[in-house]
Amino acid sequence: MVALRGRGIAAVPIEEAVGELNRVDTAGDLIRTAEDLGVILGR
Amino acid sequence: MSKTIAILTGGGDCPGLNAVIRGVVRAAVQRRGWRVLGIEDGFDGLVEGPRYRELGMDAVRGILPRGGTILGTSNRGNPFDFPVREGDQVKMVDVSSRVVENFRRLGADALVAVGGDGTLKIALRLNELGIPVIGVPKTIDNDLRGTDVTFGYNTAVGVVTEALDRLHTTAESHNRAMVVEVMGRDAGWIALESGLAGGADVILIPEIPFRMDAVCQAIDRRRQRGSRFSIIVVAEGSFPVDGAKVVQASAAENLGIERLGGIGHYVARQISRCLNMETRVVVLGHVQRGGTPSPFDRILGTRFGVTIHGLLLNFLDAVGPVRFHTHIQFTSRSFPLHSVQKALLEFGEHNVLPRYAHRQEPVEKLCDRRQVGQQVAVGVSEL
Repeated sequence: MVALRGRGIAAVPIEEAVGELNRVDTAGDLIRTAEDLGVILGR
Repeated sequence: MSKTIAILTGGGDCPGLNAVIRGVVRAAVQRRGWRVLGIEDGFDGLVEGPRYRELGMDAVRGILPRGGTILGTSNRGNPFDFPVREGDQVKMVDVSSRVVENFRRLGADALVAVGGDGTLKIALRLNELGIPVIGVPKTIDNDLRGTDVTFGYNTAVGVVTEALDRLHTTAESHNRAMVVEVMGRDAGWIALESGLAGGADVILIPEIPFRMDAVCQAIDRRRQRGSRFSIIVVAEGSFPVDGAKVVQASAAENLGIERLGGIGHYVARQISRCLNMETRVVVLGHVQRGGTPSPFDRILGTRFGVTIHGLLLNFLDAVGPVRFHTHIQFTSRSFPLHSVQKALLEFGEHNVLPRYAHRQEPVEKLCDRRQVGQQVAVGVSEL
């Protein structure tokens, strides 16, 4: 499977993409940004 | 040696699909003199027919800024679980052998499957049946692993952000809570990024089951500070801590696909009850899928498409004429064909593949290298 990795296009096995979904990291940077802005996430 | 690539687009449509198709065709046809066959309507076109058309330079002229897919798509056509009508009943049947046979009738060297989780899983299973495949990750939800981002996502975030910008003014004018329901069945990327970009006050995503009392308290605090309106973005797959996802149709009612929708109305009703506040609901739905792709998605789709011919050149020539029935033995283990591809890609990361690609050396010599201190013994045999 082709993939974007950093700024380049890479080839990765399709197995890496299927199965487990890419979900938002609830402790990650975007969530921290939202909460630091005062955005309510319902928790 | 000339190659023939078959390409299909599966699952939901997505901005940038045509950019991928154009990239594949322009690189393969114009640069290599190869043929590209466009399979119609996803895997349906290989279950039936085959239904396809040859894609030359004329076929992809002007499609870069077009949303959707010129090949058509289907999100119901799983060849391993295909709906077949028998009288009054619809039965789910494995028709994958038809796909393999139709693929071979095309005389194609490889199948490029552009799709999301479902399409790529099907492609992987077809690879196990002997079809060489290359996947291209596609979803507006950005919920595929293996790639930093999928094309289509950037466009969807842009569409929602513009909607939020517009909704701010009407919400503020009427002192309302505006609930905007966006796509995101299992992952809240669209809701989160567009909510941040669009200045939302509340963002609800599937990864965080929400407490309705926390939402109401937040809106009430805003009112007390003088902000008498609020913007709430909610992903369709979100659900309250004490509840479940809201669906419009169950999988049993909808040919195996659960159709989400309605969480926006649920949130709006709860806000009305707890705060005695006017609410309105906007369900953006398929507006997020349609229309012209953003520049980012056009470029990413194009880069994905153009990369395909290089990968195929390395892989198909290296494996040679026995590609359907070849395995490589690494030390004491052996791997089936799709793992050969994986192995060759891994070697490529150590700069072995690019050095040999132009010489098209047989796979034995390609792998007979000392890599990272490990000797790899190679044997190629017929299954």
